[in-house]
Amino acid sequence: MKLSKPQLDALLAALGSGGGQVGERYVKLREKLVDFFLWNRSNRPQEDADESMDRLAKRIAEGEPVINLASYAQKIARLVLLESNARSRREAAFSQFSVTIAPARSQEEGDEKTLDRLEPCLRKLPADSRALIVEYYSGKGAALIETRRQMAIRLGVTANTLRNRALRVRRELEECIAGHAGDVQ
Amino acid sequence: MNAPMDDKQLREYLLGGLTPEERGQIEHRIFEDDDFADFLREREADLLDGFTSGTLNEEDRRRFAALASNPAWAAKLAVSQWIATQSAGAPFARATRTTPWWLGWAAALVATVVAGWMMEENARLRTAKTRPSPAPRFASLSLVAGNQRGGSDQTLAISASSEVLRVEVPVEGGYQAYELNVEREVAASFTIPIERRGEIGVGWVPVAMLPPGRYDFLLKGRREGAEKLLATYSVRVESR
Repeated sequence: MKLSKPQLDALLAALGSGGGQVGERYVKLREKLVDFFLWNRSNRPQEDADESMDRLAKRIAEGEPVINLASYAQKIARLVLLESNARSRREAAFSQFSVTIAPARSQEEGDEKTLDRLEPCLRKLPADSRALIVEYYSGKGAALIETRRQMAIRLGVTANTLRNRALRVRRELEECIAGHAGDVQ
Repeated sequence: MNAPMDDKQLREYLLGGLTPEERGQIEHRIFEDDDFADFLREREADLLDGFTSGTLNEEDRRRFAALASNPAWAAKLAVSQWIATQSAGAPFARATRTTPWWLGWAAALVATVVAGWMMEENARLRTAKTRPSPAPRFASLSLVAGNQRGGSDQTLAISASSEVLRVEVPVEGGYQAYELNVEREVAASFTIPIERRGEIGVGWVPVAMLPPGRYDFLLKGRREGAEKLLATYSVRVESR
C-alpha cells in the first residue's frame, strides 16, 4: 500500500499534536514498531513496521477518532503481527512441498551478504562514532558501569544522553548493514 | 520514564517469554515512553553482546539462539560480533567462504554448552572458546532420511585438522526448541542445541568429542516442557 499525500499529512498532523519535532516523532514511532515486530519474532520487522505506519495514516485520514496515538499504533501493530505470523506459517507449510535450493547454502550466502555490507558501513561511520560504541559496549558488570560513567564525564553529557547516542550509532550501523538505510551518521 | 519494570521481567520479554498480558503491558510502555524503549534496547544490546561473547548462561543462550536464528537479527549479530572483536583488540578479519565469520563464536557457544563434559577432555577447546580468530577449521555432516537407527550407518570421515563439526538435520516445525543427543557405544552421551533455519536445523560439535566409532544422533523437539524424539540417525566416525 502506498500512502496518498492526504493520508501522510493526516499522520504527520497527528504526530505533531503531541508537541516536539514531527520528523523525530515519526522516526521514533517507526523504530518502536520495528523493535516490536523483531521482539515478537517477525521475519520481516521492517516491512511490518511500514505496513503498520501505512494503516495508521490511512485510518487517521479516514477520520477514525484517535485519542492516544501510541496506544492506537500498538493495537494496529498487534493486528499486523497476527497477519504476518499467519502468512509466515502458510509460506512455511507451502515450502515443505516445494523443491528449494539447499537452505544451508542460502544461510551461508546470507552471512556473506551481511559481511559484505558491514565493511562499507563501517567505513562510512565516523571514527569517533566507531570508538564510542566500542568503548560503551565493552566490558561487563561493575567495570562496564564505571567505563560508562567515566565516558559521560569525559564527554560532558548525562548518562542518558550517552546511552541514547550509543544506541543511535549502533542502530544506524545495524540498519546500514541490513540495507534499510543508505548512510550512517 | 515511569518506574522501571523488573530487569528480570524485561529480559524475559526480550527472550520471548512472559504471558501475553505481561507482554502487552511492556509493549504499552514501549509505545508510550521513549526512555523506556531506549532502556529496553540497551537490555537487548546486553543480551546480544553476551550471546556473541559466550557469557550468557546455557538456558538464556539456548533461548536467544532460537530468536537470533531469524535472519532479521543478522545485522545486529554482525555489529555485536564486530564490537566484541574490537574490544578484544583483535582485527576483524574477514573469513574465507569455507569458514563463516560467526564460526568462532558458534564454536565458543558449543564449548560453553558442553563445558562440564569437556572439563577433563582437553585444553585445546578452552583455547578455542576464548579465541575469536583465527576461526577453527570445520567439518560438515548432513543427516538425511534413510539412515535411521538400526539401518545402515552414514560414514563421516573427519580430517585431523578439523576442530568443529557442523551438523545439519531436517526438522519439522511446531517445537519451541530442538536438540541433538549424541550417544556413543560404551561412553557418555552429550547434547547440543539445534538452531532451526527453515526446514533444517544446525548444530555444532567440537571434533574432540567425536573420536572414531559408531554413534547414534537423536533429534529431539521440546514443546511446553515436554520432550519428543523426532528422529534417530546412525553415524560412523572415521579419521582421515
